[in-house]
Amino acid sequence: MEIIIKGGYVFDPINGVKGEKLDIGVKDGKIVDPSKLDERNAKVIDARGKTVMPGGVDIHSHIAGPKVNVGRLLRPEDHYISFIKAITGVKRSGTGKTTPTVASIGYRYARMGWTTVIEPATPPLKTRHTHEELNDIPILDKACFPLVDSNWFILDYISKGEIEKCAAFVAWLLDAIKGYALKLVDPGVAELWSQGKGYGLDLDDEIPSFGITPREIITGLCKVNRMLKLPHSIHVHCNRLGIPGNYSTTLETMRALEGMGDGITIHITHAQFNSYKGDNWPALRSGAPEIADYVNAHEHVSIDMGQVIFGGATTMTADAPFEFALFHMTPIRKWAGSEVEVESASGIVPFKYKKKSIVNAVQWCIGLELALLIKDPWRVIPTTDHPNGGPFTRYPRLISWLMSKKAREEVLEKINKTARRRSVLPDIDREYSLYEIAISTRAAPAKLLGLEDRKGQLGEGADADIAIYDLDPTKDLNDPDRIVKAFKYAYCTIKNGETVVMNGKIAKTSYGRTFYVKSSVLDEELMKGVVSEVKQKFKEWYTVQFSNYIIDESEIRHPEPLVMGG
Amino acid sequence: MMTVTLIPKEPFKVLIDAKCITPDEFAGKSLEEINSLEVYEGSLVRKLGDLFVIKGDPEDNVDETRIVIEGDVWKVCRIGEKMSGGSILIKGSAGHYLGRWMQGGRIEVRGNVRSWLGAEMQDGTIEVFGNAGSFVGGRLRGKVGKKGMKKGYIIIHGSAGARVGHGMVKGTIIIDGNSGPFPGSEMMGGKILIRGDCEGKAGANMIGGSVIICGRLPSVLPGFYIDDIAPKAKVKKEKIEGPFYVFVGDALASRICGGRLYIHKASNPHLKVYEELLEEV
Amino acid sequence: MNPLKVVLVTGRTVEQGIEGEAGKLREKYAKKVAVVELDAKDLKLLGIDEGRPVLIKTLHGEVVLRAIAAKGRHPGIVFAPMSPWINIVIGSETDGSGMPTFKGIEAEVYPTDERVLSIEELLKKYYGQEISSSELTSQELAPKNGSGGEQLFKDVVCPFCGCLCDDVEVLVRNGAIVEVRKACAIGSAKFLGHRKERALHPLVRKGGTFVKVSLNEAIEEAAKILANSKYSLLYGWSSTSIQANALGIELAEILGGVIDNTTSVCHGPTVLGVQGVGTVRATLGQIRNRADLIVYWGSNPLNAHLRHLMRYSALAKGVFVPGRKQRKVVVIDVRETPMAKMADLFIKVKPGQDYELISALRMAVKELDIEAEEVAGVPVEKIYQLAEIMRTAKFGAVFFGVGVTMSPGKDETLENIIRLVQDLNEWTKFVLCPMRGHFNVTGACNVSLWMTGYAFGIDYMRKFPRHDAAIWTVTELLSNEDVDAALIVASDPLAHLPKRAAENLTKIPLIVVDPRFNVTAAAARVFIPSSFVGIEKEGTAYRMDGVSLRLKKVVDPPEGVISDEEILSLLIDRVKKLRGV
Repeated sequence: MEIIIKGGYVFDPINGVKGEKLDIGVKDGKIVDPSKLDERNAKVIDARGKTVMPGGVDIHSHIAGPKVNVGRLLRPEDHYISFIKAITGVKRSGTGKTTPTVASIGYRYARMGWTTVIEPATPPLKTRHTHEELNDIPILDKACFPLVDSNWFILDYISKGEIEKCAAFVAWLLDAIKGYALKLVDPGVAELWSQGKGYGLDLDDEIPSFGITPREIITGLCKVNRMLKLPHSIHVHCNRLGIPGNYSTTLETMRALEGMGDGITIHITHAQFNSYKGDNWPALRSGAPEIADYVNAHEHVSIDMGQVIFGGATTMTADAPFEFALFHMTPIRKWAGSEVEVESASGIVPFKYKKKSIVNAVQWCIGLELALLIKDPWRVIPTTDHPNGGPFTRYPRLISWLMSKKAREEVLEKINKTARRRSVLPDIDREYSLYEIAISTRAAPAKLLGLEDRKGQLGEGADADIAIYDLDPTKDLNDPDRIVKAFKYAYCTIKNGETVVMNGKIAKTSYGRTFYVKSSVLDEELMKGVVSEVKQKFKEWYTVQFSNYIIDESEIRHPEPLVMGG
Repeated sequence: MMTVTLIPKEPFKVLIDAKCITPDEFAGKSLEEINSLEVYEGSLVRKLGDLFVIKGDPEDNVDETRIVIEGDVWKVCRIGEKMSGGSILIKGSAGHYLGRWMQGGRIEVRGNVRSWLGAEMQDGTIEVFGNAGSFVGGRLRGKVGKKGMKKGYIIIHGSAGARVGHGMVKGTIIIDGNSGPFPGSEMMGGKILIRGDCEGKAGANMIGGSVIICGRLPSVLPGFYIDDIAPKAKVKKEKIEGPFYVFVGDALASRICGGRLYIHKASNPHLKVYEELLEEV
Repeated sequence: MNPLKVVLVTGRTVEQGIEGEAGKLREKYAKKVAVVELDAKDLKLLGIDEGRPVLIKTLHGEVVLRAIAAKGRHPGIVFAPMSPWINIVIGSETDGSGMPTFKGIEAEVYPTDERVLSIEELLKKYYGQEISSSELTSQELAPKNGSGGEQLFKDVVCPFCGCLCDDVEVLVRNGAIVEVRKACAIGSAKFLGHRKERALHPLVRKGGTFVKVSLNEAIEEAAKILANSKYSLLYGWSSTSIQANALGIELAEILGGVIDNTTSVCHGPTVLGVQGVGTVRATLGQIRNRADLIVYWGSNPLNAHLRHLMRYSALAKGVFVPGRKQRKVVVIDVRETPMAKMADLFIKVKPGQDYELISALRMAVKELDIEAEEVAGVPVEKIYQLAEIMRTAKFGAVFFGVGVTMSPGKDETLENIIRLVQDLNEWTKFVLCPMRGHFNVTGACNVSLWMTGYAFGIDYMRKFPRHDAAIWTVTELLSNEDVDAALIVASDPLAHLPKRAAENLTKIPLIVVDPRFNVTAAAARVFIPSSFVGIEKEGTAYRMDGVSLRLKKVVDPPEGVISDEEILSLLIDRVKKLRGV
């Protein structure tokens, strides 16, 4: 299948293309030099007056796994009014807005021109479930991050100072459950939650059962990450998420990883939820300026926003004590808590963000402040921590806020006035250019994930994942609603060289790849020794057999391992 | 007021989804257009005219629109959904979701109805001469808070199933016969009158409103406290002779105990033991 | 004479499990399940000896069963194993939950001279169905000779119940299973018995009787039935892999019909409870490692989850709780079961009043006054005592079973028990875990959820998923004759549904896909034999706590018998062509 996309305004930051009119060629699922294709054989897409970008890459979105599925179970009401009808042979049906089903996830991302999405938190013991859901999400390429911060094996090795063995365990784990990167959520909190504690766990508090602190967990895993040459840095949901005053913990966390090496050593996820100043909820203020200052001055940190969108949401995180606390704070009295032996915990609480709520309004400002005050678009990714801050389907609206001060002001006028007064957002004039949007939604996440050779770019040899938007960068950019519409319904989305969306409608259902990491950096003897130790403890700790814990490649629809080192 | 009459052509074999059978859909349309309205006969997309013989004179005005269904529509669901005015008379039995989200007007059913009659009703009147299934005037599953029946009047001359008035915010529901278990579950306001017996578990999780039971209630839930003996109960200007034991609760939903159960004293001699607790105060 | 007025409870037993797995058309099955347990005192009141037939009568019907003496004491309560016999007297009212009342039903017992019907007679009398000759429908696979050699499979996952024990060892010799180690009696019986009572040929009813046909012809007939139906029901799914289930969901979407799984007659109320208030869960290992208080509510693991105690709860060795001595076990049930005898505290609750007991317990936990001396037959002091035991535990776990879901109260009871556990979390660690019955009913819920947004009872009439337990569940649809065709995969609804629903199932064109010619197959128009998932076919199943495991293939299926997955794929292709999509 050959395609030529003609005459579009191309934005390809990894290759330094900033809106020039270029043709893009596609052959056998890859980007090729269009001049080598025969127009008579190829499908020609007229992209004149339109924007052409690599397919979007979402670095953090809760799209699959046991927690996501319990979220669906919890919220039938989220499915009654939001649905996609099936057209046999073209698309499957789906339901749900903040707890969408697999088809709704795949199609809605594709319709926005996104083609790669990461599930950022899966408990290893239940990751087979995560993969089975990922298998069924149409179109997208994906990966998942196993939760590691409260894993007994890891805590045990770190507490004994056995970082090499810890690294060997992590290497084994990633391959065993087909994971991509290391996820830490309120590091160590799940272990405390097993005893009903953990709310407010701070960086230097001790976790009694192992005698170590979250700081040691984070730095230990950062070392492991670098030893294994993993493609993405550790991905961290900082301690004290959601608690007023937590910005200091976030700063301390970032400081803890100074001098750990070159490049990005920590990715702070949904940083908005961890940028709070003030002693209590009524006094909530933004700590975004301080966080932004730090990020601007230190190049080892990347973040994603975790922007809240006014309206309904479903909070779901592995931060179990926080979710339990939230259950008490919301009028919607539903809470789904869960724990996984040896590994992790989670909580789900439906939520609604209200413009007139001082807290929610401050939260809304913080996310945008972070993205606008941090200067380097390669290190700040727009997300809503779907579905915690809001559904990913609101990304187009989020993009318009980044690109248009006017669009921000329209919202600022309607929010709680005290929150507005407390925020620096009204004073920020910066507007993202379309090029910067291309960086932060495509090039940067691909790079942070270590996938930039094939994702987030339109150079020859890259995967042919392309989004064409009905947006003329020479004319349309001063109308925020135009921007929203363009990103909401892509003119055309190409995935792996196939046209899957045309005129904002699903044209075809395909199934993408699942990336995972195999690290062969470490010494074989070390690996063998650690695996043998793990097998011993397994019997005592787990209720499944060691051999059944391991997920085989054949269980994944299109497995795509990345081999690091060796 | 002009009437549009629908006569089922053949007995229905499977569930039918006919949310188009409302005065709002019919008003302003020609008979031909009404015949072409889309319905689902199971998985098959059909026209209303495929399933019904349609006669009469459609009106321009919703409030003047009167629909009469001559026959059994036990399998036909979503009739009267969201209607804002006019009337529907069903000379037979009707299916699920009858009058769901109704905003006004009147529905009358000579036969029985299935589940979710008048679910999340906003206003209007529904009168059923036969029996009703579960969740009469109920709030849909999974929803919480003030999403239930807001206003309106439902009367069932026969008996009703479980969960009458689930999540009710306001309005009135009268059951002339008996009711199944859990009437008034999660009730926030409004009134439910059961003239017959109640299978049990009345007022579970209620925080407001009243459930009045004239017949037998096997027991009172633990979250309720005896508060008074009232000589009468009042529903829509009708005074019902008591005396009634008055219980407040459900303490498990709210310590304020804003909900009330009126249980007829004479029909419930086994509840006499609560009188001692009243005397203690 | 005057009948004995009792409360009827139906449920699982070990023998019902073993014999049910081995084949329900056998005499031995009837012998073990067409019985009713009466308290010795009640037998005396009736003036009959154990072993004599009695007539059980409820509002919904009457049936003759053989009376046996109960092991425990429960005067006024009679217990009958789940079976096609007792379902004759079960009603199909679900109170909007999709779940019939299988427990806590008012009944009368009369002595009688009539005898217990055989399965053939029962099917004929109540459902107008004749069972075909057994040569067509059940054969024992011929022993395999030759040099297949011997292979020991370790870490095999047992495909029987929600425990999904994965430490089973299966010894295969010459392609046949000869020994099973570590599995419980029922699991072992399933592995060892897989060669018996097998249906080997696709069958289609022609002129009223079953005829052997080719697979193609059977698929064609089945596809025609489905493609020509206006509104079909695809039901079962809990005893097969999620891979097969996913294809079933696809087929339902193509047909615009309904897909429901056995959750609706098992833990459907639990799902509905979660929809209302949420849940508090932990994996079985977390419970095993930490729980110093185990509560079994309406659940008798010794009947249907035989290794549960040893592997996951009361008797298990946990990291922080070494064993039984360090755990307190509470059993709450309507009658004293063998499990109750093992408990440190047994609380007998009046049938149908679990809801009230839970409410009172919640009142006690929250330190609110209870204005009664007794609730649900339990003295209030005992309730306060139990509340204190729960509040002061370090880590409590409630395992609850169909004793709670099938009794009056249903989904409201479940909401209440979840709320109780949520309330307890103010004081200490407390979780719950439903005792899921079939080995992959949890998987059926999970795959349904991620594909449709709902766990069971899903309609595709309008080409997108809708769910309502009061409408689109198997009992409601069949009792009300709302569908005009049915495909049953990996389940035996004719043996498990109340009479009216079962009866209506026999009136519509029916396709059955199952390794055995089961009771439902007797009423089918098309029967297609399939392989046993977890023995002859690999696939994924989900344990009661949501952990998913890979079921293994240890032997080949019989010649010519393919898997559910393959049958469904063929059906999907054929139905698409017939419907022109």
